[in-house]
Amino acid sequence: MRLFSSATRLLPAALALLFVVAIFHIGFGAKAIALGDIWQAIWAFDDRNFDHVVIRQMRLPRLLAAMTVGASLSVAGALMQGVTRNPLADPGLLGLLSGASFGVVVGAAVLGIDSDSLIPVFAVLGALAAALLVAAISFFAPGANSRAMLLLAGAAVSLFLAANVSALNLLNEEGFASFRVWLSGAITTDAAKMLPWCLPWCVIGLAVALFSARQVTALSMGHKTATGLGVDTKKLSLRLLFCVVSLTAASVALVGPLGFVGLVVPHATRLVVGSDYRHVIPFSALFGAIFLLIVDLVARTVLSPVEISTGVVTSLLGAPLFLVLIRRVL
Amino acid sequence: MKFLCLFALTAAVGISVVALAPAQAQETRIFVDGLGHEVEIPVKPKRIVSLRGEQFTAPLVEMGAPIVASVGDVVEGVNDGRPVIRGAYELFHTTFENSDIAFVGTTHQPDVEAIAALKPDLILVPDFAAENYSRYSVVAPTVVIKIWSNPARERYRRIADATGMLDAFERLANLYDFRLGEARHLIEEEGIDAQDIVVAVAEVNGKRLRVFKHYDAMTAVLSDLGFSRPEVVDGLNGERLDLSPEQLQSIDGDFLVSSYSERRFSGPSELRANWDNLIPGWDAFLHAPRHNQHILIPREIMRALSFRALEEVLAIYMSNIVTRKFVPFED
Repeated sequence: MRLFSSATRLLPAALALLFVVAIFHIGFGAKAIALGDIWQAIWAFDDRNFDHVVIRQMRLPRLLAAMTVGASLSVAGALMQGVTRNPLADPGLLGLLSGASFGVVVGAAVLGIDSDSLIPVFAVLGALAAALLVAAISFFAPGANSRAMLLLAGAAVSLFLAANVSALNLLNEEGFASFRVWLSGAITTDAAKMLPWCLPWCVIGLAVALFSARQVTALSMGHKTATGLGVDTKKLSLRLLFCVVSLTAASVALVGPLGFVGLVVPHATRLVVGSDYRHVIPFSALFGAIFLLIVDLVARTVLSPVEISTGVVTSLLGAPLFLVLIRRVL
Repeated sequence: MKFLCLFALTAAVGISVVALAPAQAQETRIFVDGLGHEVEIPVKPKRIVSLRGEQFTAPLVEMGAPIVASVGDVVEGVNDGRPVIRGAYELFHTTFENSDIAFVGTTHQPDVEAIAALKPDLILVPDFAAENYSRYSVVAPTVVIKIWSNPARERYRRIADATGMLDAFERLANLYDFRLGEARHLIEEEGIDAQDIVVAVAEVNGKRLRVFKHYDAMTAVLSDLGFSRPEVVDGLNGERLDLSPEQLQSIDGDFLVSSYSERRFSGPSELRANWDNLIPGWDAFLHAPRHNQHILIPREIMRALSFRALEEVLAIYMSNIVTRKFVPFED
């Protein structure tokens, strides 16, 4: 089913929706701030005014982080679903979120790396190792390359890495305290600190994804068809692996592992724009950004003045949607 | 031959009776624990095993109770990597090496076989580990204590009651009450109305701004001295609240109190860095840090259930709040 006949006609509407949601994200929070102050905070920032600090140094970094992570995870999920031709593929179910988390925990908590610039690198290494492990298991195990085997391999690797993270937690509970909120997937104001180091990975990943969109459409029709259409599937797969790993790892380094975004948003996008990845990828990025902005707004305001973790909200929204998808797909 | 057999049998029975004598001779009573178990425990236990460091072992050490074993934890950079009894280590420098207390596993993974081998006559279990109650109660009379129940003094008293150490508890309590009385007297003498002084207890930990209504000695002593809390904290039903950083100014008051650890990730400099990361410029927007009225208290000492911890925190509050000039907060 496709709701819009022309995706290009939808683009201005999607951008306008993103703009409106971003305005709401900036305008609403646990602290009520007058519209005039919001305007001043943006155009005439005064660091002695706490309302200005809330807008510029707390809500704005969260806005950027939510948009970056929402777009990145959604595009990563869309690519994975296209390449594997598995509608249930996403960075969480295939072990990349756990791999990136494990990489960050090993780097920061075990090796004591405290340089912000190196955190995404450890996340990339962890996600890459997890992706290769899942690919190897699903390739060599009995029933190789089946949808179920890929998901089972992803689940096994995810559980294995999560167990390792738990073991590290038990070995050093105190040192681990600072990771607990992050491991639940939380967009916080201190995303500003990591944003400069994570944003380049995301921008490059998104650019490569957009550049490869036409070939992904061919690949989503099967390797033989793609080869027949002149696509070098091996090169493309490697490029997309880099793309998915960098998008996922940078997102994890920024806000921790956020589940369901990469699964639900691409499906919703396909419902709206069809299965041409020249449309799926840019619209997944847009809808992912919108989705996570709404999620973060809910997390910040629904129990105000208490904040709940963004990961809790994505799971609450994503789990039922995931069940609906399973019913449709399996 | 017959005589020899009879002699051997008599000797064996005699030895058994002598061996069992202390256990049989121990006077017992019924104690109702935190989960409502009616447990037959010795009136004066002689071999106590503690399954929580700062909540059980520390007060038992303070009271001089006959403790034979405790759980411990490996804490990075402490005690050369050997397990430490949290709270007892920091307050009394009691270690497994310098005391007769045996190590019986970690807080979250006690070793039941090691506990059984020590033949305890009482085991103290925190309520979060009560799911294994049946395993411990096979080894020895087992008492569950609710470790987050308040007030802390009542919790301490329950531990003293279960372990037959009420006399020591009363002695320590009287000493603390005496010091508290002296402190209150000084506050009166200085013409300070404690209720007018608003003290917030808050920390940034793991990317969260957490405010506390109850946090061991840190809040117990504030209540004992009669200081007030910010409204947002006063209205809390539970012990603590993860507050939106945007609501920072709702915890403003005369003083701000946070705890630190000398260990990696949570020392005083990391503590300030955590605040800065979550709320840039936070110390300019709160009265207390702006006027150097942000008090830092050592966490491991403060968290240990003991009168020693209360006395140390009392001394910190007296020198930082009562006996010096400070800039009052005007709402």
